Amino acid sequence: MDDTPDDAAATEARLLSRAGAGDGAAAAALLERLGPRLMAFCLRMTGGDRAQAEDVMQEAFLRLWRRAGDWDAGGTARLSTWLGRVAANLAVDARRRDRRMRPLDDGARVADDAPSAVAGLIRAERASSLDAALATLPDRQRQAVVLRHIEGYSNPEIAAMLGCGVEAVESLTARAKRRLAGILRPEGGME
Amino acid sequence: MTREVTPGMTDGDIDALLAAAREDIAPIGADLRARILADAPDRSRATRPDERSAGRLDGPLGRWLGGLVAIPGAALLGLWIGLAQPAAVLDLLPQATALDVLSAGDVESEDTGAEAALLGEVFGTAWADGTLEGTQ
Repeated sequence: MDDTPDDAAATEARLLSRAGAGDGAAAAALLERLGPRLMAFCLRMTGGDRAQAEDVMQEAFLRLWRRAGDWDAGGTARLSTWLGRVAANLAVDARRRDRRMRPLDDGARVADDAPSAVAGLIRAERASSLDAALATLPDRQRQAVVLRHIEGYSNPEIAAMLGCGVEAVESLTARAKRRLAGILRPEGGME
Repeated sequence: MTREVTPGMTDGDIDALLAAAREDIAPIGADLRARILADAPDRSRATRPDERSAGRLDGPLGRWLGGLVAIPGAALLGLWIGLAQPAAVLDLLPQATALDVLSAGDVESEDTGAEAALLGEVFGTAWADGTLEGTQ
């Protein structure tokens, strides 16, 4: 039976408190509870780059463990929301660093490696056609559409995470959706 | 209103597809799981508050009491060293020779001369009989 959001939040806070006191089983239970969903999010944010997604996951959980001692269990913040926001910021930073290391623009990179990346994702990760299509988008378009339409963040929140204006977020999400629709259309698409 | 973004695929279709992906999960590999759990707080490394504070004074009261004992203690120790072993202290001073003369109880001309030399060195003027020359 599914927990109500309040029950889930209380359970997660309890597990974190025990994990902070050195209870390994509680830490494992919390990872089991929050990890798979966060991993899917990290993979999407990094365009299917598993190594980078894992680094983001590890760093996000490390920050969670550090907060274990002073987490306000009675507060309004939900652990999974906090963790998702931390992971989102880490993923955006990681991709930004990645872009600096690789001077090619997004469009050129996607054109060069998109088929192999998509095929690899489908084979190795059994990703859905949506995830494969998302992986072909330029970083900022993908991040904007994932944060807005999958994670449900508001445009101002996304603007803060991406370090741009609200209008830019609207433009990024609109362009991303147009590209997704083009990739996913029944005739000649991935499906 | 549902806008058609591309033939056969509407804006609403894309929104629905993205919203449906919200609950997707991805497996965590054993290696990543081990790395994350290795970072978690360890009971054996965690320090209990009672162990941490045992044997030493913590908190504002402890620090205040520590200061209360340490400052007069240091003053008394300094006084005792000065009284009990003056030679040890005087050896460290640059004007030890002049002060040594003073401490030896020779209060005649040598005393006055040494004192004048010391004051002259400190104030950069010529002293005699405890007064500044030229002011009398």
